Amino acid sequence: MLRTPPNNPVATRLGELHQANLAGEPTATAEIFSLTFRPLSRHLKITRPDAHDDQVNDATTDAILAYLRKPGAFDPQKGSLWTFLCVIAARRLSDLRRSAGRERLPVNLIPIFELQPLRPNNLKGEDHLLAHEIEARYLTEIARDEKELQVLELMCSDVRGTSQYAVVLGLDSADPGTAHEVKRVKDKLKARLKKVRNAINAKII
Amino acid sequence: MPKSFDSAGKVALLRVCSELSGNPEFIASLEPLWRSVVPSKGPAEALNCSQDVWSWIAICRRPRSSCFLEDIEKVASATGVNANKLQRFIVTALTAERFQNAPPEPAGDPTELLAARRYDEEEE
Repeated sequence: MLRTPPNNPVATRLGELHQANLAGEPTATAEIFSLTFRPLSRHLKITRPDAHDDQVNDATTDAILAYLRKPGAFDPQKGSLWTFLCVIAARRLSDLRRSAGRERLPVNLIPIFELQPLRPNNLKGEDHLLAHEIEARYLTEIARDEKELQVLELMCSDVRGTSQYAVVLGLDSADPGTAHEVKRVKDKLKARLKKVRNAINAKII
Repeated sequence: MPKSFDSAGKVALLRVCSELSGNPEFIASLEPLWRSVVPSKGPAEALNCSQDVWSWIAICRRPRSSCFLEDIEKVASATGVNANKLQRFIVTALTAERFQNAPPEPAGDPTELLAARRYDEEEE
């Protein structure tokens, strides 16, 4: 799980360092890097064991850099800095792996891959577009850990059936309770999506 | 801090340094300014520290003007460099930056210079 217990000393220290960073304390940034680089890359290696080491390190560095450049983008009300960094790093790793996968594809296959129309099933019409749009901005509110993030990605890619969701969630596809558990997680994400959409609508109105 | 990192950590640290060198909020952005004044000596040499230690210094924020010396002391004590050397390095780079950002001098009337020269010659 990405969520750190409230009394975790590293999470507490990161919270203090974030406040110090916002106040312009000169050494806070270096300490944040020092405190997070190794645990974050270790976390990515555990959650994505098949990822290449270079990609893991790049994703970790990108996540820390994104925070250092724009610390105001992290909202402590929404979760811990650790969770924030984990979500960004996981997202970045997915992007790196996706682009590396694309590079490996034969050139004549790329346009076919891109032209495949998405058939909205899990997320319909407006929801489908909205999910893509708000994913980047409200990601931490919707997907709160690595598994949920991967489930959301599958939903956005209109993946049907339970087998891929089961793999991501670490469930046994043969287990009769798996379909129910997958549906429960997907429903939970849809409910959070709806909550965010309502919040956005309320702001617009 | 600074921590002894493995090679992956060192590579990441160098990358962060280089990415932040264009960001005026970080000490990393002072390196090109320093080099514009003292091209023969890099920051690590000027601060009498290793390249790794310089990288840690570089990813620190620039000292705040409201507590300039205090912030320099903090960076120096966290990284183990000499505070006076660090202060000299930062002040030199900031001065170079101020000169670079200064508006150009308005073009003066060349006859003024000639008049001043004549005045000097008459005085002698």
